[in-house]
Amino acid sequence: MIEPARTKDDGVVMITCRQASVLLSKREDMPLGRADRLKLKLHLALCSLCRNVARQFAGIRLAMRRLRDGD
Amino acid sequence: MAKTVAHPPLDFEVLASHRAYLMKIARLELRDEHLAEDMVSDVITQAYEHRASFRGEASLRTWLTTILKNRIVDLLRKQWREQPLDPLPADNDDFDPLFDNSGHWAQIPSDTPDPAQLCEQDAFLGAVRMCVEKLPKRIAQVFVLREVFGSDTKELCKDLGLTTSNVWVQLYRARVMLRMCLEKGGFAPPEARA
Repeated sequence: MIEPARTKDDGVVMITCRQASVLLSKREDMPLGRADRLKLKLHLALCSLCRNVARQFAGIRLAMRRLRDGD
Repeated sequence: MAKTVAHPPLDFEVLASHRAYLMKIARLELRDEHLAEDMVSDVITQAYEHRASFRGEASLRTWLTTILKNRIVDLLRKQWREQPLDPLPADNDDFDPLFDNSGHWAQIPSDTPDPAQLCEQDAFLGAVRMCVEKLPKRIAQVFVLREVFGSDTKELCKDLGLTTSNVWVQLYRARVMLRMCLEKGGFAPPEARA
């Protein structure tokens, strides 16, 4: 739970959990651009809640593979 | 047409030995046992008829999966034409209750073990299967094509006639709905289950 921080030029460097959640899904489907990647990395470094969601999305992907390839 | 066949011709039994696998993935996508059976039988027959075009570059399973996927995509396109997708709300507004006004989690995600650790538990895999079955049909169709058939964003756009952002929104919805469903115990570490 972190507040969005702003740089001098008022560009948002810290994304919200809501935005992070969208990027966490998007990165499962395509490589993120540099800016998004950095924003997400910074957010995850500071937000344990979103780190849990990252593990959840990754767990869902892995589970789908296991359901497909397991017996 | 294939002029050189470098591998022995495929016999029907070899093709049919992949039936169980094809049924498993067809069921996930179609949610209809009879439809899945019919389609898988067609795929095996079609593959047998066109066995000369199998070059052995991909594995047999991959080749059969592609044939099945093409069948499924044809069917979905037909179904979706008759009943188009609901227009998308702008910016994922349907998940508003998950976040407060400043974009923080309103419903706190629970502590979650590493993916590999999660997937060691049959209970987790079972919960994922159950939650996928509960997804709205269209969303599940896109999600299973992505995660089980391995279609990428570009293929999904082309195959289903969706825009890129539309595909992302469908997949995002699927993942969020799944994690909400799994929050009801699915993510619990093993020691919390007992």
